[in-house]
Order: sequence, then structure tokens, then C-alpha cells
Amino acid sequence: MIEGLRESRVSDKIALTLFLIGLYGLIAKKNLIKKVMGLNILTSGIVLFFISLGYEKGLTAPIMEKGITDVVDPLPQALMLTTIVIGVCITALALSLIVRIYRRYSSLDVKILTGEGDE
Amino acid sequence: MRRQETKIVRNVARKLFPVLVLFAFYLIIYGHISPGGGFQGGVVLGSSLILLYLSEGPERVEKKFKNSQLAILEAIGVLTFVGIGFLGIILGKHFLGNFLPIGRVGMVPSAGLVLLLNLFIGTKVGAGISLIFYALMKFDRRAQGE
Amino acid sequence: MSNFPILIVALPLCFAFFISLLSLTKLNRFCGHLALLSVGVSFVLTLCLGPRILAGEKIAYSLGNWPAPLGINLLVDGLSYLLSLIFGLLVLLSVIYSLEDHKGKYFSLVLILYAGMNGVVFTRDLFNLYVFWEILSISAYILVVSPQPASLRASLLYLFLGSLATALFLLGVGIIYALAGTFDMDALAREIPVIWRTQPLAILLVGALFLVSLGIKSGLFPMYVWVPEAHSLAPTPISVLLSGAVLKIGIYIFIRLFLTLFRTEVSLEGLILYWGLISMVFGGCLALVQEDLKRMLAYSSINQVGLILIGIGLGTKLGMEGSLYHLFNHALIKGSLFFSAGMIIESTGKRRIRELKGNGIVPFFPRFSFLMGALAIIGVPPLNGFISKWLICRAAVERGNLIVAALILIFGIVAAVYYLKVVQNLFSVAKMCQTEKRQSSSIPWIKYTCLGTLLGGSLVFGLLPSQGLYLIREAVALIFP
Repeated sequence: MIEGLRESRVSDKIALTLFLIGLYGLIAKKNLIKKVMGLNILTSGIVLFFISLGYEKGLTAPIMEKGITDVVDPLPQALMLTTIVIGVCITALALSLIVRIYRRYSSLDVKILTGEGDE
Repeated sequence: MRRQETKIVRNVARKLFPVLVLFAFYLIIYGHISPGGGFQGGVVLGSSLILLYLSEGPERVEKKFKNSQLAILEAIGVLTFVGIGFLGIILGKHFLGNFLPIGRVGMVPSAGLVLLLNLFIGTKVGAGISLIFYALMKFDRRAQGE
Repeated sequence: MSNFPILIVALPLCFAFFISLLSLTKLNRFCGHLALLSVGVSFVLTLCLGPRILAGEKIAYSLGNWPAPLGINLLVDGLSYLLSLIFGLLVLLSVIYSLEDHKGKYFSLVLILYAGMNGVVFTRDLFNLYVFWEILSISAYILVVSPQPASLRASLLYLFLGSLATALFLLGVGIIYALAGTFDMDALAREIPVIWRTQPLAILLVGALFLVSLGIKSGLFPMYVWVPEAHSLAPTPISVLLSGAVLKIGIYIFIRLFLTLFRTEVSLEGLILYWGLISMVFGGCLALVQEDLKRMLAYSSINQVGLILIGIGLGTKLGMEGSLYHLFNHALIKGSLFFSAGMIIESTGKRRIRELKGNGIVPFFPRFSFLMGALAIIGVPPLNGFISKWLICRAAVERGNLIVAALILIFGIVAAVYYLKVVQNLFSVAKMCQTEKRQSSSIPWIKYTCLGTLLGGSLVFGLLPSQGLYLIREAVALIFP
């Protein structure tokens, strides 16, 4: 198993970069759809981080057949499936809300969220 | 009205559809002994419907796969899953406790409940994904109609 | 009996999907009753666990009979029992309140919310906690949407902030897994002090991620933006649930993770104390200037959550007692306040505090219950808010932190100002409105029972504080053995 935080890999750096890009998109972008994209990128950064936790070079898939001794840690992969499902749900919900917001306000600008032009 | 897709796209999609469904069920059924599983298979199942939807247009697909039927399928998938969990309690084991024979490692009907659970998860996910897609497409259609 | 923990979580989940199936058929109108039945059964099961939990027992359950580090474990102890009790009560009353107004899918979402809440407080697995948290959040995002068009943007705002919070939490969980190789809380409680010695920075990073995420979810000072939007625009029963239960989830996870799990040498008490203080001051000040009735209640929630954090941040047993008791009391009081505000808005059609003036058409009972709720939350003696505020104040004085005690008292007075402003408007005699007095839409009696239950609870737990303190004794014993 993993002993302590192992030395950082390229995948960790990519994951961190993705996470930060997503965070930037979520916070700084003015367009609501772009914000949803930012959220998705952020989630994929986390997914990549988890997957790379379980990955170890030279190990095989965790299917217990004869002659296989070293397998990767299957847990992070299984868990990331759940995260991906949740990501799909959140994206679908956000997009459908945005469609309805667009119909009401005819704009995708973030100013809508703070209630400008309401009532 | 949506633009009709070209004949090539429609033919390829129609030929691809059964293969995709087969692949989805392969992923679901072999999920416990190889890469794959309920969710992955379910997504492929859902995307096969989405492919049909994109190429044939919504009206024709909805005649075959009604939204309400998909919703029922989705609910039944979860209900059976939780029901199997409760069955574990009734049979004297824990929630989701295994009450089927485990079988030999590497065979297809093995690993007790997992195959059964994968099957229902696959149904639910397939129906759910295509329902989400339908709902978003409907928004689009209504917006165009306005 | 041993299967109760999973039944409490899984039964509402099962019924939720059954209801969504039912809503497609002609039996659509029975959805609410079925939801009521399932929440009722779940709540009764929770109550049945009561005697054993309050006697100091912990009830563990492993899913699929997989033992602790491998499988997912549920554990009901004093703290989770207290929270589960609050959730059960509030969800039950909300379902009763919305029986007439909503149908179909709404109830199925409320049930999923309920299952998620119970799952969060029962689970012992960190990732499972994240999943349940996400389940309850997603259903909360959807439930915020009401017929008011502005609620769409409130829901989207809540969704963006909430997903950011859970994403940060997930990143923290990932780093913990990289460090410790397990998600099981009992194993982590042993592992983390060991890791702390070699890699303090990583643990601090995780702590910071968790704190930010919990801060967003429980509406603390800089991240409170979604609270007033979502609380004021959601349907009334959902406002009750958001304020009484969903905000409390953040506090629960905080207590669970930082006070019973990570007992590191770094003391968070100062941070929590001042964070709570700022939140309280800020929420109280902003509540003063609000014009919308429900929005004012939402800012008052920020104020009260700050107060709860202050009690935790004092770091004494008495402070924790006061905090947990206030958590319980705030759920009762805010429930009754939001219910009565909902009824007032429903019967007058007016949301602004100023417009409520001299309105003869508000029925007496919502006005009266709003007055009682206001008195309780200000902290007037015979009601329950007084007891918990007094406990927190005394804890602050015992710690020698007189400024904190003084601020709590001052913000009690500020609360009095903004609540009594509404009460004054509600009770002022109708003069000019006589002519435009229209037939008030009658409120079904079943809604009064919800209000009555919560008010009765406030009175009982105010007059007999020993009963309430008995409820939280086990929870406090968990943290200060």
C-alpha cells in the first residue's frame, strides 16, 4: 500500500494544474456555461489525482487470477466512478437550470446570480 | 423542425446500435471479472440510445422508447437494487449481504450478488443517462419552436 | 434492532424511487402520504434506538458483513443520534406541511435528502460521507427551485458554491488517502497522529481544505453568499430544512472530523472562536438592514451558526454542551419561525417587512408563533433559546473571555431589534387597510400542527432544560470523555 505521500509524479502536477484551471474558470469566468465547464475541469483534476494514487508502474489490473501477485490499488478507481457519476448529475442539473435561466433573463452573464435586474 | 441527418449517418448509426447494446451487456455481465461493470455498461447502453436519437431525430425514437417507460425502468432498477439489499436482511444476513453461491473464480455466473446488482445498476444508468439527454434535448426543441 | 441503522437510511431511499414510480401513474395524489409514512417509520426507528444510545451504547453496522477497514461501516453514537433526531423531526414536519401544496417528484427528492442526511451522520467511511453529502446537496439544489423565477438563479448559485465545497472536500479526502491508505475513520484516528509527526504540512493542507469546504456549506462569514438567496427563495418547508438541517451538516462534519478524529496538536480553537464571532457579528448586522422577511431570517441563521461555532471554539465541556444544545434549539426555533413566516407570506402575499404593517388579514396563530419564535431566538427566559445562550455565555465567562460573552449579549439585543421590528409590524392595529381587507386564503389546520409541535418543543425544552441536556449528554461525552 501507499506509505506516506510518495514523491510527486507528473500526473499529480497535471492534476493540480487542472484543478487550478477549473477553479479559475469557476471563479473568474463571466459566462455561466463556462463556469460549468470550470466545474467539470476541476472535478477531472480530482479524478486524475485519485487515479494516479492507485497507479503504480509495472503492476497489473486487480483481477485475481493465477500467477498474478502485484496488483494496483483498485479502490481509488472504484471511488472515482462515483465521483464521475456525481459530476454528470451536477452538470446535467446545472445545464438545465441555465437553460431555464436563459429563457427568463435572456442572458448568460454572471450578474444574474447576484440578483441584478430582478423584479 | 430539426434538419434530417444524411443517409450515411443514419445507416451507420442504425448498424452500430445493436453492436453497442451487445457491448453494453458484455460490459455489464463480465463486470465482476474484467474491466467494466454496471455503470460503464449502463453508460454505453445510454449512449447507444443517444446515438439513435441524434441520427434519427427525436420523434421516431420516442415512438419506440417512450420517456415514461424509461423512467419506469430507471425506478425499477434502483428499487430492485435496494430490494436485493433488504432480501439480504430477510435471509438472515446483513444489508446487501451475499446469499447466492459464490461460484468459481473467473466464471461468469460467479461472485454471488455482484452480477445481479451490476445488471440492475446497468439498467438504471442506461435509462437515466438517456433520460437526462432527452430532457436537455427537449429544452432545445422547445427553444427552437418559440 | 441491529439492522436499524441501515433501515433508517435505506427505507426513505427505497420509498423515494417507489414514489417516483407512483408519480407516473394515476395514484399521483398519494405520493405525499407515502412519503409521510416512510419518514414516519424512519423517525420511529430512530426513536427506538434512543434508549440504548442514551444509555451510552454505540450501535455499529457493517454493510454486507464486511469488517471495518474493508467495508463501509455505519455507527450510531450520541452525536449522530442527536443530529438524526433533528433531521427526522424537521423532515417529518416539512412533509406534513407540504402535503397540500406539492406532489409527485418533490416528495421523492425530500426523501432522498432525508436519506442523505442520515447517511452523512451515520457513516464511518470518509468517502462514503462525501457521497451521502453530495446526494443530499444535489437534492437540496433541486428543491430550492420554487415557482418564483428568481429561485432558479438561487439554486444555480447554491449549486456552484456547493459543488466547489464538496470538490475541495474530496481533494482533502484524496490527500488523506494518499497519506494513510484508508478511509475508515477509526483507522484514521489512529493513523493521523503518526503521520502528523512526519508530514505536518500535508495534514494542515487537508485541514484547510476541509475548513473552507465546511465554511461554505454551513454559511460562515466570507462564504455565506448562497444562504440568504437559497433560504429566502426556496419553498417554505425547504427553507426550514435548509436552515434547520442542511446548515447543521457542516457543523456536524466539523465536530466529527476535527474534534473526534483529528486530535492533532494544532489547536483550532482560536480560529473557530474568531470565525464564529465574525460570522455572528456580520450576520446580525446584515439582518438589521434586510427588508425581506425570509431573507432576514436567513441572515439570522448565519448569526446563530456563528454562535454555535463560538461555543465549540471555547473548547470547554460547558461550551460544547451549549453549542450542541443551541444546535438542537436553533433547529426547533428556526423551523417555527420559517413556518410562520411562510404562512404569513402565504396569507398576505407580501414578503417585505414594511408592507406587513397594519395588515389585519394575517391569522392570529402565525403572528403569535412568530412572536414566540422571536422571543426564543433572542433568548427570553422561559424558552429554550435562553438556556443554550446562557450556557455558551457562562462558558465564555469561565474561560475568562468576557469580550465574547459581552458580544453574545449585545447581539442578543441586536436580534431583539430586528425581530421585534417585524413583530411590531405584525401586531400593529389595522387602520387604513380595512377597506382593502380581502378574504384571506385559509390555511389548512394540518399546517398549524407543524407549527404547534415546534413551539411546544421550544417551550418544553426551555422549561425542562435537563431533558434536553440529557439528549446531548452522550454527544458531549464523545468529545470530552
